[in-house]
Amino acid sequence: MISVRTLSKRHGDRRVLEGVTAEVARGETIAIVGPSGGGKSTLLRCLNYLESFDEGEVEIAGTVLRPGMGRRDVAVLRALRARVGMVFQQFNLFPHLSALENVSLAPRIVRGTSPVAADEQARELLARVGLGDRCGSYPHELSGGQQQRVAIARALAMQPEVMLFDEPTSSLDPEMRDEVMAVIRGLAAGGMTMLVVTHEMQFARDIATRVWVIDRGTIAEDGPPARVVSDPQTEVAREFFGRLKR
Amino acid sequence: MTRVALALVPFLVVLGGCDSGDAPGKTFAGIQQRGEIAWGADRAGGEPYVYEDPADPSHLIGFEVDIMDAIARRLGVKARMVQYAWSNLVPSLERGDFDVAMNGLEGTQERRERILLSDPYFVYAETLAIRAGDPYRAIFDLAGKRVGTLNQTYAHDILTMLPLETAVYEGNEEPYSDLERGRVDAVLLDNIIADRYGCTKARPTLRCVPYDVARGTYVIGMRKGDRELKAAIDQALAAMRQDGELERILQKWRLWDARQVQAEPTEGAAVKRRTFDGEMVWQFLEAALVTLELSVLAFLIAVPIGLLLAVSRVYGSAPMRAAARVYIELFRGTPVLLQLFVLYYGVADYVNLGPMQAAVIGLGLNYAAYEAEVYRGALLAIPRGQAEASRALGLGPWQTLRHVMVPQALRLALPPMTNDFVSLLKDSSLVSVITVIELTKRMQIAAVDMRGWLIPGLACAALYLAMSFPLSELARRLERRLARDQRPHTL
Repeated sequence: MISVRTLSKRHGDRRVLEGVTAEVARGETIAIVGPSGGGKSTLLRCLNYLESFDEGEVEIAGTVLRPGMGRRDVAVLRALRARVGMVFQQFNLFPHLSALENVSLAPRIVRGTSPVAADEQARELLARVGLGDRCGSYPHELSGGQQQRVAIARALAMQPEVMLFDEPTSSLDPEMRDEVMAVIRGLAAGGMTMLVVTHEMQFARDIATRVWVIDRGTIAEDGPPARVVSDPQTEVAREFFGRLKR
Repeated sequence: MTRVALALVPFLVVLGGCDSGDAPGKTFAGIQQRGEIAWGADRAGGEPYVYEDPADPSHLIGFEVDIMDAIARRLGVKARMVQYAWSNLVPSLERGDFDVAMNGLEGTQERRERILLSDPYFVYAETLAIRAGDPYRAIFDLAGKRVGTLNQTYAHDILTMLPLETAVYEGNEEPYSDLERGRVDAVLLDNIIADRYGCTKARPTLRCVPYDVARGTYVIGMRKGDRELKAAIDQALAAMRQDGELERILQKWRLWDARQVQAEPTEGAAVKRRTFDGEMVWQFLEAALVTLELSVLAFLIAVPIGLLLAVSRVYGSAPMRAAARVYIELFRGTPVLLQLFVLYYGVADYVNLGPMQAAVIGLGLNYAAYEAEVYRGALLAIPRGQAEASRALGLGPWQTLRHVMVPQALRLALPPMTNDFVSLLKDSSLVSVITVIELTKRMQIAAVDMRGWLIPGLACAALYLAMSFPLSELARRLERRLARDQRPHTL
C-alpha cells in the first residue's frame, strides 16, 4: 500500500529526513514514535505531499511521488489526497461551517456528490464517531475531543484507503483523548491502513501492528510493538523509552 | 417631514435676520491707513479675469487686475490680490478676510440684498452655446434638455427657473467639452467665457446663438456699511469711464463692445430666497438616494475587484503580484478627485461615460485598492492549518480559495469593510465635480438658496447618519451571525 524509498529532506543545512526506507501493507496500523524534532510529522506530511522532499520516492495508494512536484502536478496530487485522509494535531476544522458542512464539503466539491447524498453520508459518519446529535454545531461550540472526532469523520468522508494521523490526541485533555482513541481503535479494527504519529505508548502498543521509532531523520527501529516497546534493540530506542518511563 | 420643516422656520427667520452689517464700516479708513486695498479673487477663474501670466506664472494678470490697479491708484493706495475659492468669495468678504471682492461678481438682486455693490465695471451678456447642427434658437427651445453652467452664477439662477435639467460645473472648459461630446445640449454662460472657451476656432462643432439671453453687470462687492468705500470706488470708476481708462483697459483685453455704452442693465430677482419647505425636503431625499445608490454600486465594484487584487497579491505569480501592487499603489496614491476628472473628462474621447457611470466606476476602482489591502490582511490572518486541511482533503487551489479562505477572510474583513463603506458614503460627495448632484452638493446649493449653512448642514448631516447608522447596525448583526466564534479575548 505504501512504499518509501530513500526519502531525504533538508531544511537549509539541517537534514530533516535522511534516506528513509519502509513498506506498509494494506490493513496495517503503524505507530510512529520518537523524540520531538526527529522528523515524525515531516515524514507523515511527505506521504501526501503537504511537504515536498529532496530525494527518494514514495509510492502510496498507487501514486508515485517524486521531488519537485509542483503546479503542473496539481491534478495528480489532488487525486492522491482524495484517497489519503489526514487528521491534524490542531483539528483544523473550518470555523465558518457546521460539523455537517465540514464533513460534506469535500465530497460535494471534489467528488461532485449531490448535496443530499453528501449530507446523508456526513450524518452517518458523524453518528459513527458518536456525534450524531451535533450535526448543526459549529466548531467553536464543540469540545476539543468532539472537534477531533469531526475532523476524523471529515477525512473519512472521502473514503480514503490510507489515514494519516499527526499527533491526534496531543492537544487534548486526558479525558478527551480516550474518546478520540476509541474512534481510531475502531478504524484499526475495521482494517483501515493507518499511520499514527503519537506520544501515547499504551495506545501505540494496543493498536499498532508495527511501531517505528524515528530519530534524527531515520527509522531507528521498526518492529511489532511488544518487541520494540518492551525490548528495544537500538541505543536510540532504549534511551527514548527509558526517558518515557522516568 | 412637513412638521419638521415647519419647526425649522423660526430658526430660519433668526438666521436670516442676524444681519448686523449696516453699522458704518471702518474698511476705507483701514485701506488708507495701510496704503493697500486687499481684493479677493480666484485665479482658477482663468483668462481674462485674473490668471497667472503664461510668461511669468508668479505674476497675475487680467482685466480685473488692471481695473483694480487703476482704482487703487486713484485712491492713492496699492492693490493686493488675495486668493480665495470663487464660491467662497462672498462669505469670506463678510467674514472680513479682505476689503473687497472682485471676480466676475454679477450684480444680482439677491447679492445686492446681501452685500454692498459698486457701480458696474463691465456689462456682460448671457450667451447660449449649442452644437452647430442643432435647431435651438432660444433658451426656451431647450425645455426638458440638459443645460450646463457654472455654480452660483446668474445663468444658473436663470436655468433653475426654466423647465430643464441644469448641470453645474466648476470650471470654464468642462461645460463646453461636454457640450461637444453630447453630455449636455447647451451651455449658458457669460459672453466673456462663451467667446473664449466655448465658441472658438478650437471647437468648430459649437455655435453661439447670436442673441443675448440676458444682460448683466460685473460689480465689486463690499461689506454692508462700507458706504464710504463704495462712494470712493464708484467715484474712481466714474472717472475711469469719463477719461477713457476703463475703455482702454477693456480694449486691451478685447472686451470692449457696444454693450458697454448702452443703458445699464440690471439682473432681475431671478430666484426668491428659499426656505426649508416640503420641496426642499424632497430634493434632499432625492440627493440622499443618489448618494446611497452611488455608494452601493461603487462598493459592488470595489469588493470583487479588491478580492481579485488581494488574491493576486497573496497567491499570484510574480507578474500578477506586481500588477496588483501597481494597481493598488496607483489608485491609493493619487487623489480620487483626480481619478474622477481623468475618468470623466480625460478619457472622454475614447470612453464617453455619463456622470453617474463615471462616478460609480471611479469610486469603485478607487475603493477596490483599499478593499484589496483589507482582504490581503484578512487572508494572511487565517491560520495556516486551514489551507492545509483543505488541500489534504483534495480541494484544488481555486476550491480552497472559494470555499475555505475567502469566506473566512470576508468574516475577518467585515469590520474594516463596514468602515470603508461608511467612508465611501461620505467620499461620494467628491463626485459633484463631475456634475452629479448628491447630498453634499444639494446641501451647498440649498445653503446658497437659503443664505445660511446651519439648516441645510444639519439636514445633510442627519441624512448621512440616517444612511450610515442602519448600515453599521446591519454589519454588527452580520458580524455576530457570521463570526460567532470570534469573541474578544480576555486581556
